[in-house]
Amino acid sequence: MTISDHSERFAGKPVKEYTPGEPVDASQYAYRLVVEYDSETGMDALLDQFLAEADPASVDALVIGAWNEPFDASAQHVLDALAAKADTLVNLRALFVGDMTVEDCEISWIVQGNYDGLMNAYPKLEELVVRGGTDLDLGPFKHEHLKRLTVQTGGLPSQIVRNVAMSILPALEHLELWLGEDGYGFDGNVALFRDELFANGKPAALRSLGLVDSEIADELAVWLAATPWVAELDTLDLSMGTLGDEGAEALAASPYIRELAELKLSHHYISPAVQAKLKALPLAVDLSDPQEADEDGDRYVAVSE
Amino acid sequence: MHSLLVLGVAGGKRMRGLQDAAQRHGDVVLHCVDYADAMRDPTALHAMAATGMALKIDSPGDDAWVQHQLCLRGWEAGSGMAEKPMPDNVVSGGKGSDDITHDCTAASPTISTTVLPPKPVAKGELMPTRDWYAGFAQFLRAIPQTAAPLSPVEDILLMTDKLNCQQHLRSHGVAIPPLLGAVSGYGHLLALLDQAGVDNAFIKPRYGSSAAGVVAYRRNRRGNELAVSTVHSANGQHFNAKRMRRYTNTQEIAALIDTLAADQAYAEAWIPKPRTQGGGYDFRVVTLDGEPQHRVARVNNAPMTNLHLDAQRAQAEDLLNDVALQALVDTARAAARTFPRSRMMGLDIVVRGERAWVLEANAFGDLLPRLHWQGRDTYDAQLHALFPKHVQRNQDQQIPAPQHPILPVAPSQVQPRPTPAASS
Repeated sequence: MTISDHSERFAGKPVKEYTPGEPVDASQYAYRLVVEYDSETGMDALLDQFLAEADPASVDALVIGAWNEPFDASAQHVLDALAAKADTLVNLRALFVGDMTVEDCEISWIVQGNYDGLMNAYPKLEELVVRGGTDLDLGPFKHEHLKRLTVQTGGLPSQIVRNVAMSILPALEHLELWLGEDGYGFDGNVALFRDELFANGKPAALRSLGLVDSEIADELAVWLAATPWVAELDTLDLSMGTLGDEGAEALAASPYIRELAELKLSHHYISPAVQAKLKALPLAVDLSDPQEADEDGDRYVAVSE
Repeated sequence: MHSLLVLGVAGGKRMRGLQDAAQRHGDVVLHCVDYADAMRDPTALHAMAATGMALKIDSPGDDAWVQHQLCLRGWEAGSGMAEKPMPDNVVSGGKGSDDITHDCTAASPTISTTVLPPKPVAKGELMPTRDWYAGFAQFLRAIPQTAAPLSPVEDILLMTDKLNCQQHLRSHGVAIPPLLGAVSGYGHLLALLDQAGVDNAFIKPRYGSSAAGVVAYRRNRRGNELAVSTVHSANGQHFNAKRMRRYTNTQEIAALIDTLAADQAYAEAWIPKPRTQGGGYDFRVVTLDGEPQHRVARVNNAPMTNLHLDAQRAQAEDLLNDVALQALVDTARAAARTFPRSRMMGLDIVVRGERAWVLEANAFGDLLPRLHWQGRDTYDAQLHALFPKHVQRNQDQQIPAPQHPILPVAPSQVQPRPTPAASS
């Protein structure tokens, strides 16, 4: 499966594709910059043009779509260009790098880059979404204001999880990691999350945890169902993965899961009987998009390629 | 009463759509001839065509017997391709890009016919399209030329030869995706990509239709390859399925490309489709007498947007701003003008911003049920173009009269027509 829709909303605003020459209203929209097919100019030039036509101070959310040949050319030039514009984008609070669909580039082919310079340049950034795990060099970093971190990959390398574990993110409320498949680079297991990422329990500010798009959704669910600090979360998200009855039974029986406000399990392989147990829980449970294992009994995550 | 001779599939959607339109028109008698009947005995068809009445040749459809007959006749005729060598490969982006011409005679597929006659294909199996095309050409060319065809036989055949058609459009200055040319196999495809500096391409059967056998190919410099296709291979047989299959294994991809190339295929750059909620989209625009009329966006979560592959319809006006809409209409018009004798065409067009490219011209591109333009579906519009009604009586006005009547045009003459916006 693949990603086939661009983001519709980002940081509480509708997303609008930037068209050079058309009026820009960044107070109303989060603009997506996309380098046009066959274009002679790159993303850095497009960013310049956008900032010349927008009121840069009104840009609080920005979406970076396809740059030139994202399957071969790394995002580094984009990240560097953004870092260099920190004095202009004084109110940037939310950034999404790599909002591409399968038509633009497979998620597993998007070549990312190093985020140190960017994170240092924007100490007031509150939300970062990164799509694509190839050559992704993210963290560890210390960032006072980052509230929401989302890393979307078709296969998440363990090093990224360890870097997040080593980061100092006192404001972090929402952590969402797309684990993907081992065939596309996921090389972790439950221990990576249990003993490394959450070695010290729940980060103080964390309210929403997503370990999604995972082949080990059942194991993760069994572990989380037995983890007391889960009760302090509002939202747990295990959607887009291969969650079946084993993990779902554990969730349904857990005293900690009952304390959540929301449990997101869409794209799952749970039988109707066990779904009924989950629906009986005193919280909002999303069981949409049920899947069926193929004739060999194989289950698939929602996004891998 | 006017008469229209229709060659098509009796009881099929197209024929029914035309019959319904004839009832609404009220002044047309359809003489419907079924392909299967005409292939068994063309006498009646030829006799009616010889009377000079208006003629619409429609799609032969996907009836297994008809397809096999066409393949068989094509094979018997020695595949009929020897007279038409493979065109030279030329890389170009249509308007405004440099042509890079190169000699690929060595790489051209050899014109050969299989020793054994083609076997009937199982449902969904890829058929030998080269034989099919030769048989189709032979069958259509045997029909006496009528003075008033909706589209002349040679135009239909040119549009059915997708590679020739793209070259025809390009030579007339119509924007098409950069054409890499004929592909003789997987190795040749890689050479063509290298030469053109392209990493994303479509490989299409030269005589294909409706996404059958189309492959969307992609590679990067790390050595990853990906092919997405409706073709599923099993035990040496190749089937078209509705569901897309993804291939990432080089051996499998090579086998797939080699199989398609053996039956003649060509490659063109893959222009990424712009996206909306629900997927990427391109457009089908139907032109009538050179003017773009019915138009619909086809939205799909796959590289191919053909409506039968579960694509959703959307309104062009909802997706395009004025500039883009103009680009769509202008490009459709430009393409239609290169077929001055074809009164109806269906064009597949991808639009990005101010640019538009013709992906395909379809001789049978009017199957768009329930899609209306100025109160008429595609079949209503055709019948009114063929047999204009000058008097509209109020009581039988099920269809509002168009605000801009479409004038009849003699099939032999081309004349620029005013756009609806420009006329009043």
